[in-house]
Amino acid sequence: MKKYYLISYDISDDRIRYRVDKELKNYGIRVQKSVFECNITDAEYVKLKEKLDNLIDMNTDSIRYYFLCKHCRDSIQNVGNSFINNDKIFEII
Amino acid sequence: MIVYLTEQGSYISISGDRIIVKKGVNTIGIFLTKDTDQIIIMGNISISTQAIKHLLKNKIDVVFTTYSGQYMGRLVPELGKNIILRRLQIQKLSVTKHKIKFARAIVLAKLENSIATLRKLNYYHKSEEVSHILNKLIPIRKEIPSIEDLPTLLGYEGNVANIYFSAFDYLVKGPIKFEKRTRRPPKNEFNALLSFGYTILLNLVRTTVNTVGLDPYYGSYHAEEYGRPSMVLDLMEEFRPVAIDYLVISILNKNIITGSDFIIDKDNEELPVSLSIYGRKKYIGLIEKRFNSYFWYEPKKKKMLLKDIVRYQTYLFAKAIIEDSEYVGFRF
Repeated sequence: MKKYYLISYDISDDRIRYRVDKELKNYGIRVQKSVFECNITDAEYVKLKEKLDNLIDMNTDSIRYYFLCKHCRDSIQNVGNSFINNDKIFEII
Repeated sequence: MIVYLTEQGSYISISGDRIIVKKGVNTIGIFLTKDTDQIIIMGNISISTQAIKHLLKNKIDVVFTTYSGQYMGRLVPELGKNIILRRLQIQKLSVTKHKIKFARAIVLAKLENSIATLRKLNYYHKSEEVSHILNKLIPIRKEIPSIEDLPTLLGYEGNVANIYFSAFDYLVKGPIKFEKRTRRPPKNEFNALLSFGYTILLNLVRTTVNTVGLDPYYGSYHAEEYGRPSMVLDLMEEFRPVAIDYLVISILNKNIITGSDFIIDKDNEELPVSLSIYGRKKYIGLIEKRFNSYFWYEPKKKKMLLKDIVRYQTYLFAKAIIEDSEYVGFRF
């Protein structure tokens, strides 16, 4: 069962930010500079969180995980140059 | 997620845990490994060794087909290890008594689904001729369980197919007509749609046969022939009317696919009629939508996705072989 998370970070060090970024890209889709939307299972969430916890500097950096329920997710609104990310069951290129 | 790659000349590479599809310098698609179940590579698309290794490691099914969807091969992380099942399959299906039992179930399921398909379509059309054809098909349903040898069964099946296909012209109202079934090569637009649809369906069933661990080349109803995946064709038979025929007729009647989606080249002997690039993409999308729609599934007593039903039927076939029980086909 997959759950929908919104993950945002605030990291001051360039090197750490790059690493966190690299990790998050494998789990979800970037919707803003430091905001990711991830549709992941509980196991993947635990794995991701553990990886990120080991990377960041606990004194200066922060990562926030918001869990979005289905209703919250459907009522996402966006303005400007952005998109709504919906999971597809198939993709044709 | 199933990814169909049809863009000719594109290139698959890997970055981190992402599958990246590029054409020239432009990235035309990024997929996460964890979301991808299957990649279908149609035609001239290159893939790097790194990518092949990554896909094998993550057990993503990669199917190589020609531009027209014809199966060529696949990347297999590990071949079905169930040698016991394969031994039983060959043992059981070598005995005429068991072979005919499975063949009968397959033909009966196909007949039932053909009747159901015509009925559903005729609900809107209310054509006299189709009800006439249905009246011819329905009594055959009772005759099939008593057939004891394969040649007679084959004769019945051919007869049923002829009657069934003759109903198509009364059900399509648009400019594209069925006329008659032609294959290798399909000679008109309707047949081109059917053939392309069947190849996509064949790829789906082939994947499930491989995952269950049955031998794709040894079937019960289709005779074994060099290079013919009889088992796959057997299991596919009952899904033909449900998955493809119904879809083709309804999309033609709704004018979703029209004459402009085809390329007609009368001088080309090998492929007189083919789908255009845009038409192919549209048609694959429609087929996938059909595979991902819900159908009532009697053995589980609930609604299931068509592609899951296909997989479950394959499991039931394997189960029937192991337990020596009766195989019951899917009823639409």
